[in-house]
Amino acid sequence: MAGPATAHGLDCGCVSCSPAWSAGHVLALQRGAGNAAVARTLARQRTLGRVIDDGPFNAAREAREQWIAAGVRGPIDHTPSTGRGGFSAAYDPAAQELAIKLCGGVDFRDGIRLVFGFAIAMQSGNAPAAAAAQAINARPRAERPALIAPWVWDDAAKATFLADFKSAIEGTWQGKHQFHNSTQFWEDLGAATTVEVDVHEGAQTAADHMKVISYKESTATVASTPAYVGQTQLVGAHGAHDNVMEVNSQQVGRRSDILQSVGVEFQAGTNTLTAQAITNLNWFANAYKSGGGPRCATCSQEIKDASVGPVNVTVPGEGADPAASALARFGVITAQLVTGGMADAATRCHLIPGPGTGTAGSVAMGAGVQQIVAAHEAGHMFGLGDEYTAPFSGTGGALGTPVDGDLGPAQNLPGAVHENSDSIMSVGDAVRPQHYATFLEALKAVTGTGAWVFGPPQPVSGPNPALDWQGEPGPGGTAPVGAGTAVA
Amino acid sequence: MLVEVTLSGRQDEPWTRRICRDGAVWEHTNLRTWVQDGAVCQEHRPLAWEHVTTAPPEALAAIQAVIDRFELLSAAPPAGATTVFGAGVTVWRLVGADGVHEIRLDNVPPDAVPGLRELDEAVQLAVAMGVSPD
Repeated sequence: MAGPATAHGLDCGCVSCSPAWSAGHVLALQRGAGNAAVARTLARQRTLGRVIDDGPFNAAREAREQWIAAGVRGPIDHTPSTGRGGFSAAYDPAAQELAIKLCGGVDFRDGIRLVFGFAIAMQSGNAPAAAAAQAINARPRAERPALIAPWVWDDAAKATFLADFKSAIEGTWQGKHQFHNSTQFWEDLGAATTVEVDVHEGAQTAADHMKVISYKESTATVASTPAYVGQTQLVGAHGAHDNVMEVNSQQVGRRSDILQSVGVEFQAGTNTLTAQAITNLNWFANAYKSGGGPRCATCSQEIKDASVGPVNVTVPGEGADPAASALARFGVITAQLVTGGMADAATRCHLIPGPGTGTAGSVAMGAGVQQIVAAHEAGHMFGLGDEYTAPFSGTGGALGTPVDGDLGPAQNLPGAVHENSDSIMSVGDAVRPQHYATFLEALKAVTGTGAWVFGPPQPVSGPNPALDWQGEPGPGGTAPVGAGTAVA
Repeated sequence: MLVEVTLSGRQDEPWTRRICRDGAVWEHTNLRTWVQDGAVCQEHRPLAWEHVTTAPPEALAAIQAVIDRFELLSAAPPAGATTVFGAGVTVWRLVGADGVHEIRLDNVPPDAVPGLRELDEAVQLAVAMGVSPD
């Protein structure tokens, strides 16, 4: 087991590993010991210097103020270290805000067109559109113009797409996590993250990071259609503007082809699952097998705050003791998930009793929220790779294998692994700490300093003799001699 | 077989369309698509092969012409093609005198091989000509 010397703030199993970016940990400490105790804990690491001399504190605070007064840094274009995607970043120290911006020109393309009077699907690899074109061609020629209409853009549909594209990405990505400066006595300098998407109809301009190609789809489409982010440079290094994103009209809304939850039902008055419930649970168990989650490279413990969401089992009970009935049914569901292939179901499942009494419930991956494909593709523009794996395939790697190599660990964040989950770069919607790794890269680049770490701003205490004197001044330390050395 | 295309790796069952030298068109799909009340409807169904139609000889000739014009029987994705995330895998199988030639687009841009877009359109036109009532 690792000792204190290897503590690195990942909230894992390492002894004395201080979860600096875990708001939950700080809250727990405050509730358990009180705010004053937390302040003393945070201040203790700096006590020795202040007892001897408050000069370093004052100098650091003055330098901090001068650095802030220098104004906004950037914007700069940032090419993520993974060599894919690109975006711009600016940091406003006065507002303590990291502004991420993603710009693109949208090439609207009809999903189906008439060629010699026949309906032809225009997007390569779009099986549902090809199937639709085939069905349309089986109708008389005169009917085809009206039948292809749902695959043809009009001005209203374009305007809706541009608005939905922007809101989907901004809503998914911004404000999920914070950073703060790690320089001593600058720890209260934070960076809340905003994400702005600026897309327009037309060709990619010099200011745009990507060309967006969007094929019009019908709402009748039930299956997955292509969506990807690729590179456009032919030779040389990848630049922040060398990108193409293909994302279709239906992909700015929540997808319906990959479920994040399934229904379960029991035969009335029993703890026996219906046949359909067993089918559903077997599918869910196979789809959402654990890949082990992000783990600490030092102690190999799973990092709780970076892990996928729990499997939330909502199930009502029946009879004289509904609570006991619900608990028994929870056990049946968990056992079926194990049978279906989710070996660690017992530790991943979380019981939500009710509502009320009855026979029907649900099993959800985390919050059970369906992904918006455009938001997932934006993650590629932010430099991140796919985390999903079989049976959802795509570019996914083998279950449990690392994603993007050293990207997370290089930023003192956990590394993502391939597994189907509620994470945005998997098949879900949740933006987790590891997904902000390239934003942290950009923050360091735009400010010209690597002194940034994950987590909200930390309180900085001024020199306070009453607090400094802990009875153990340490080598060279002195007992406080009067007040008045504190600096706000 | 004359030509076959399989789409996979896109969060759904693989989809295959095969055109035989006698014009027979087969599909391996889990999609059922039909027109009802003036609109296209679609739903999932169990994965299965189905005979779709028979393409006319002139459509088969048009497919062969595209294959020849772009020399697709010896085509391959360019080495070092840029990486694409999420495009899935498209596999074209073409039958020539020397046997089956496979062009595998494994998460590379769809336009990486010149002529495949034209081939896709020629295949779609062949199916369209087969199923069209007029």
